[in-house]
Amino acid sequence: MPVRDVGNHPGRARRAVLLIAATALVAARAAAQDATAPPQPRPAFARTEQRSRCDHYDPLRRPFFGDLHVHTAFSLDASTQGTRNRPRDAYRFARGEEVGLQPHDASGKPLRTLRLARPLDFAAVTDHAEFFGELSICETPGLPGYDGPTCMIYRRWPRLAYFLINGRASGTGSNVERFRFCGEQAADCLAAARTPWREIQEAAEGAYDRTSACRFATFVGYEWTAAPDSNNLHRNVIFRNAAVPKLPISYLDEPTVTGLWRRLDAECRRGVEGCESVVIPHNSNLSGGLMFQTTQEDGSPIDAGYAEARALAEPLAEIMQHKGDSECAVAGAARDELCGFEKLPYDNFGGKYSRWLRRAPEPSSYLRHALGQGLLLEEKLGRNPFKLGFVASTDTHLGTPGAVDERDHPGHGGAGAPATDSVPLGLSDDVEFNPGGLAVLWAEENSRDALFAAMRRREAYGTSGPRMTVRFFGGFGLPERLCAEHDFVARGYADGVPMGGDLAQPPAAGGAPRFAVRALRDPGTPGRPGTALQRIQIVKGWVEGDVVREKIYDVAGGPNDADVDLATCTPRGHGADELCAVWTDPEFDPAVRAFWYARVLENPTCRWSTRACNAARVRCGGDASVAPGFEGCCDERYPRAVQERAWTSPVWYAPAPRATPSGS
Amino acid sequence: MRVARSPLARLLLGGALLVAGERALARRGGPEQPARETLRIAAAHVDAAVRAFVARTGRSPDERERAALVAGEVDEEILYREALARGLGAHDAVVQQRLVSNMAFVAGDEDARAGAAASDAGGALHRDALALGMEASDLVVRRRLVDRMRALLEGPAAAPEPSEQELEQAVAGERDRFVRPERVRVSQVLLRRAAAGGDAGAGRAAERLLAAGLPDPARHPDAVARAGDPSSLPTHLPLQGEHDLARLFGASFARAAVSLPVGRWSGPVASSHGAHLVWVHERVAAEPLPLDAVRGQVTELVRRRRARAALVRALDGLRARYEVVVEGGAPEGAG
Repeated sequence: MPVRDVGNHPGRARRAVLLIAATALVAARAAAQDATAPPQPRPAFARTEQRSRCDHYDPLRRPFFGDLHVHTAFSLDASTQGTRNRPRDAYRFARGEEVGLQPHDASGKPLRTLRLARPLDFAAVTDHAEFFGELSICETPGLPGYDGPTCMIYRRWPRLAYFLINGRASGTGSNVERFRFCGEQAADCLAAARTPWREIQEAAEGAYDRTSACRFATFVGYEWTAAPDSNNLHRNVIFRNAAVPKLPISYLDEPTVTGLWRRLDAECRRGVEGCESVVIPHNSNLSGGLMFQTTQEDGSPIDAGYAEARALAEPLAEIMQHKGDSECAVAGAARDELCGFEKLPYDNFGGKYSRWLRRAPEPSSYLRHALGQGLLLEEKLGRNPFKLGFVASTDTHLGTPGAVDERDHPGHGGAGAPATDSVPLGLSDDVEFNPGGLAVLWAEENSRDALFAAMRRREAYGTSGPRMTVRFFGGFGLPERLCAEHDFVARGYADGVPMGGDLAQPPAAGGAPRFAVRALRDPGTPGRPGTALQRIQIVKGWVEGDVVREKIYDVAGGPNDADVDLATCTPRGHGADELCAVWTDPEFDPAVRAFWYARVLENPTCRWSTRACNAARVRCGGDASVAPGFEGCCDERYPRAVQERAWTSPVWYAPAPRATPSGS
Repeated sequence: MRVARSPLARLLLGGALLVAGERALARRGGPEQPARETLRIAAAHVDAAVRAFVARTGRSPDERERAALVAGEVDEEILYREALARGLGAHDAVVQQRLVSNMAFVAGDEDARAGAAASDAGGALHRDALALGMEASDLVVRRRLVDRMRALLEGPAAAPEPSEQELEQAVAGERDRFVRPERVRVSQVLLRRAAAGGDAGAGRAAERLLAAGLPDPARHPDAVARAGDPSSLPTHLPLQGEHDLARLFGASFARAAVSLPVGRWSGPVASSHGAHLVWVHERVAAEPLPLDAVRGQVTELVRRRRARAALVRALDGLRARYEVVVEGGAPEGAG
């Protein structure tokens, strides 16, 4: 029976959750009673679109690989560095076609080209919504405002204008003003924004495969770009289908995040029939600890209303991308030797550019910390504002979604260097950045509705680039020998919940939850096999009084003899094609809240910078030989080898409330 | 009288008068045609384009390709001049920033380079750049302006919603593209490398399993699902294309699987997971798709074509204003 997807509306959401839970329970009972019957499909998603069902439709779901964070020439910080790829070019690229990259020669031919070895399954172009309108007005002679002084400043000093505008909103962030040339109530700028916004929608529609082949799916989206005092509070907004608001709600329109959620509710869910959104925060590692603070924007503590609004609007967060990893702090609460991966040495953009503003990132800038704070807040408020599943993406500024290969990495424009007419010497991007990761969604099929439902229920994981397949189930009734059974997936769904879900209450007889996790290595491409797997870990967080404890367990594989020859980047030693484990939590306490997520690690491989430095024959140390632009090669803060990885969304547990809940 | 007061009628009348007047003038020889401007394409320019072609393709262009390169150079130059004439250069954020950073480089001002445009708050560097004619000689500026001009010429034509007839025609003209690909329905049994000690071992294990009599998966789906090594991969797959199989099993497995015979076990077929035995239940040939299945893609295609056509038309009009001289070659004329 199809069950409506959980919407943004509190009442509807609760009803839907109850309905899903009830259906799952019935299915689980049925499966338990008749072990030989084929497992029943889980509740499906609702179709809101005119389209064919996919040929590959699978009730037990498949992993689809995509990129939910992509900038094109419509983003000012991309166009000033010479990016010419527009949304439709980005989608062409994601589907496996070749695109040109800046710089371009005199006849407009790009000096570099790029093509994905494997197309993506889905992508969303998420250009900065700020300046959609201002850019159009300031760049189109004849529009009112074009000759005004602000546009002149803006045309002449775009970066200055960018900082000025963000600067206006620093501090309270409550009085961002539109430029005067935008007209009464900013009407002229809003009208002008329709053109890029329309092109973004047309490009998404044009690239979306509505046939039953379902080769490629797209989402209309944009980035809401808040950075008070250069602390990053950026969020991507992804819409479920072609029903979207007339205009994106940008930081200039709405400088507070609570305002953003409210406006999305008013202008999308209630304003446009069929419109739904998810909001995905990213780069909490650059938020100066602000992304997951336990106070609201006005400084008051988070209350139940805020927690509810946030939980409904933001089911996912980006755990890793081009500008670093946001999983955990190296100096965090738990002993975690493998946390040190793609960390930035500063905690906001100010710290990147000014030594005086540079601070080492605190645990509060990371997702694992947020998950723990969420448990504490839920204890207090009855609602967890940080119930976040994980995805990763690129944040490319070249219009190249899914360009995550560490080999021949052309950069993602993170360095933001102004446009040039020749390929700059040296590393293709700032050494602390990386090629970014992918968002993986477990869905019945590669359609917008199915993928969006996966985002909503957090049945998602992020990878740092490779396409490993990771299943993760939690439940009290999971068989201990599930890895040796032939119906691992069906049993996982029948006897447990997948990543992103909530554990049921423990059986009356007591017992600890089991977690079944299975990872397949990235199959790679012909001639370039994926890297073997090294281990699977389970990261647990739980509440002890008013503190959060964390612990990391190796559950499959473990330390091995594998490493990589840094001079040739050839991997050495052994690894696994597949790892599987059923792990029982040895310290489960049915009275305390907890979360568990899985982390899958590959054997070590060369970091992108190591490959680039080798190609440039850079030598560090005594007899150093460093070509201009390659100074980063010898910066010892950045490792030469990395262990690429995947992070699953967590599974949560909350003890049943002692008192009977008053109303539901 | 009522007719003459209607705005539409007045518009039509006015238009007719204009056209008639223009024709009358043209018949009389008309006013002096403005002298055609000379557009000179330097030999070095053509050589550079040829070198770029060689670098891209690894061979020299043939005569037709060479002509296309020259025509491309001419069009770029025309677009560039048109952009300057319309004043796009004076008002473009990217152009401004480029010029300022050029000037900072010339002036040896490292701080200004690093902060690029933001540090040129007085606009002095920008004014200097213009005074030096940098706008006309800089490649980045040039291609930015060409790009903007191209977008301006393409934009309006792409905007209106294509008609049903236009869409039908586009689909009919691209039968190869709007097609439902060939599909196969397969079952597969996996033998893992790790369990069998490498690729060869997995292959031998698969052959042993086959020799022991693996049943028909249509009649005995459960028995087949329990054969081979446990895995999270599905045993019985729905009817689907090669692309879908590649998502789960990798490209080389998918390519092999779609061409196996129907109704019997084949293999072992290798994938990154190990060795597979594969049964093809049925194969359905590729078939054309109706318009409704591909409406969005076709609409986009029509829009792109219109935009391209508008650009070509606009360029034709602009080209007529120039006498084109290609240095080191024959004059190309106006066409």
